[in-house]
Amino acid sequence: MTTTRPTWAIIDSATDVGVLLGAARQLSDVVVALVIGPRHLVEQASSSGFSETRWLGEPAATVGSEDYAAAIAELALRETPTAALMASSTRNRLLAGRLAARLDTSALTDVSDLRTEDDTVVVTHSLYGGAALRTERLLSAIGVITISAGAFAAFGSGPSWPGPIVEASCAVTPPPISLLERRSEPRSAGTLPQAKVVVGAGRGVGSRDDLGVVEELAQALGGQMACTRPLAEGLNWMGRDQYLGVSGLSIAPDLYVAVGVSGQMQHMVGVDQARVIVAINNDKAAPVFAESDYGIVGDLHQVVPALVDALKAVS
Amino acid sequence: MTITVLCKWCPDTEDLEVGSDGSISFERAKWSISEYDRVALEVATSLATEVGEVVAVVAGTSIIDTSMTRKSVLSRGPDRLVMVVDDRLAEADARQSASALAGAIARIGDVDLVLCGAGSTDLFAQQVGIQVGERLGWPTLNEVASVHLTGSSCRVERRVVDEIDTLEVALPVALAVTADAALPRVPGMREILAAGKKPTVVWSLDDLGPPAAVDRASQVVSTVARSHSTRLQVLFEGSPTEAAAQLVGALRHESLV
Ligand SMILES: Cc1cc2nc3c(=O)[nH]c(=O)nc-3n(C[C@H](O)[C@H](O)[C@H](O)COP(=O)(O)OP(=O)(O)OC[C@H]3O[C@@H](n4cnc5c(N)ncnc54)[C@H](O)[C@@H]3O)c2cc1C
Repeated sequence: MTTTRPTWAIIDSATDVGVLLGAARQLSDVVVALVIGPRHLVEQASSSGFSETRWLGEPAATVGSEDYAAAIAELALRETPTAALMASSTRNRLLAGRLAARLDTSALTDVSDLRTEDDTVVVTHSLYGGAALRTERLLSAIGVITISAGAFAAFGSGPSWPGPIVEASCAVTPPPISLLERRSEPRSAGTLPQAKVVVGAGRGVGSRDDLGVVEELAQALGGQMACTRPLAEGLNWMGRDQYLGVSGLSIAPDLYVAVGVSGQMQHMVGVDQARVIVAINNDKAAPVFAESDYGIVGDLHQVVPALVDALKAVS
Repeated sequence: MTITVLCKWCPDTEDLEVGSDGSISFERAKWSISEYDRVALEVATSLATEVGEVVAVVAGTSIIDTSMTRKSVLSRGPDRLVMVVDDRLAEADARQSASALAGAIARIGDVDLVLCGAGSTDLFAQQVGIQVGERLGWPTLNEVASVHLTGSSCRVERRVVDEIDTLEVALPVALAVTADAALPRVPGMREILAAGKKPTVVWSLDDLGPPAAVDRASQVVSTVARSHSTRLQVLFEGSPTEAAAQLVGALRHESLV
């Protein structure tokens, strides 16, 4: 069941358009896109099947979607949508929090399921490091919701259906923040979610140089490299777009090989959908073995080269 | 200059017990400072060696009001501790926590900088620090990887998707720092003993500046253990070469190699 009130989808990136529409349609048949970005993003949104597309403006380089919080809150108080939905990016998390504070509600974050019951919004999201799922019923008039990456299917009506575009540019007071420098960080290929075979390195790998051993295994299996959070954030041996888990990527490959990974819940929820999981760890009591189909107890510096040899022998 | 660090006292998720019906319990869990708030404590303490005072703020039900909580927080560097203890904070959502913490900051007065971790170990909504900043009407940033004070402003590095911005923000400001913004210390005996002598005040929700929210913005319908796939759990032991050969055999059987 859906509500009669419209639901808003706040869009600041081309990748989120279809998914936000898909998620918002779980709540209302009338979905209004609020677009923060260049004209081509507005055009993309307007031809995706929204009831209406509003263009809030194209932000200057020093302004992000978060700086539209005051303007969107004001609009929301006037129009009372069921909820304002957004993707879970850094900027949108900040926007969600600022909006929620202004609307005196609590943002519902990283939701993986959305519906309405008796005209109220009901969401489900994970908590306790992915160990549990909580369902909550919104009590405030307007929901502020960020959606979990990968949880909703994109709604696509094809590019044949251009809906109306409303120019609704709003005044944004730039924050008292000056941008001194902007550097870009190299990203890895970004094809991990599609990979059939993924080899994940954990802190047990010991040093950055030893990552090479694990890379050889990934190559021998024709797979891609991923890692646990400490390797990406803290040790900085790998990219931030390469770690798997509750706060990183969730993947569903045919094979996931965890090398020197202890198997904490926060990591394992990201690979739970893998068809087969293999673990290599020198601690027989490591929790990863209970979450794996096949395991080898041993020092990865010996086991991984042996495995690479064995794979070469059969190929 | 006064720096406030927001710390959450929460149950360790590893200690979560799951019943046969999928119910969950933290009855026997250890509680500790949320992992990423320890990073914020370390950042605050390193800044404070240059200037002023660090006040830690913890809010929660009476479960937090123990000498263990006090010592655990104060041994990590802050000069004093403010506890907002109120059983109306049971299962608090981000709105309740943020409104209690913003109220405490208003009452502390003359705070220049609010720091917190990226998100709490239990809920990890990554919302409270942001909502505190917005409730105070201050500039607020998340994903802050480093902080330097420069007189009446601070210089921060913020990570947004694949860019790192260096920003200058006038104080007061609220910042949620990333997990790698500092390496949290492990307090030694001397720090734990010294912590016992540092001052703590305890307030209730009624003692704060603006009245705090006492209800959740949403009603919890259910909290259940997440079901996950059962795995074969086959272990190959023996020499690395033998184990590797057995594993490759299994992978061939699964048509994976
Ligand atoms: C709020 C929150 C969110 C988080 N989100 C994520 C997330 O999204 N993703 C994530 O990965 N983590 C996340 N974490 C961190 C997570 O809890 C774990 O700390 C982390 O996954 C552990 O990484 P690890 O397995 O690489 O390291 P460790 O736990 O240190 O494990 C290393 C393992 O290597 C083994 N080992 C050591 N030497 C060898 C050797 N020579 N040969 C073989 N094995 C060896 C050890 O026995 C050990 O089991 C989060 C934490 C919090 C608090």
